[in-house]
Amino acid sequence: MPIERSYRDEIGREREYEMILILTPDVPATRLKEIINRIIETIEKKNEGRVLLLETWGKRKLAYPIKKRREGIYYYWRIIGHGSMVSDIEKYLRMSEFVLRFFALRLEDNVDPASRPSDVTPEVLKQAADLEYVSSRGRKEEEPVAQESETREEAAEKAPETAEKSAEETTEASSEGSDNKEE
Amino acid sequence: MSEKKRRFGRRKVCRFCADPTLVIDYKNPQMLKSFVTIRGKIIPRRITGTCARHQRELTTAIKRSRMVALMPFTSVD
Repeated sequence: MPIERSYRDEIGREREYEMILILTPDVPATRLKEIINRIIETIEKKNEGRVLLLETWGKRKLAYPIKKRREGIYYYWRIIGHGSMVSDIEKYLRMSEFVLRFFALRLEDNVDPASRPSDVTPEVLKQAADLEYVSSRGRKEEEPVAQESETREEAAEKAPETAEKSAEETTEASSEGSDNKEE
Repeated sequence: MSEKKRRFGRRKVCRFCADPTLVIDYKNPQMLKSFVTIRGKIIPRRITGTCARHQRELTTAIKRSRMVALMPFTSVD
């Protein structure tokens, strides 16, 4: 099936989007994997788009309860592709029961796809689909979201690898996580 | 009459004009927090001194932030 393209789009250009996805904290590991993989598949296979960035913010407190949940698992995506890609993703997410919220935003029109190299490794995608890793990225209270500097994003991506290993050992990290669950 | 009007305190300056490195981003509730009341209402620019353009950006940012549950629509605490 050919990809739908808006008449506004110039030939060979794509659109850049960012998306925030919030899942329920009680999503089973298998379903989490399914959801993440399905999104990636929709982007890459069905719509020939690309994931530019995928940040796993992990468990965070919601500012207000959604579907009686006080916490959510946050993801931040940055993707490039055509308009139909986003509606495809949204169509899927809308039907998905473990999705609390999704919010996609167009950042730029008519982007040259070649000018946006993707630094997403298969590793990052795999981690995002791994429940154990996701929950280990528990929230640090009111941590400022990576937005100002590239360096911080890089640091945040490198840090989890070490944090993941130490999370099980250090009581500090685990107690922080269990506090939230008890509430 | 206007001469009679007295100004108290110093003139407020738009924070975002004063510091161009400050970015208005809905993903940063920490920063936006200072532009809402404790109840979560957006503070008018006559109070904060933000310029029209940046207040507009702020408003959309706060509203977006609310949609993704990073900021409350309303809160009592």
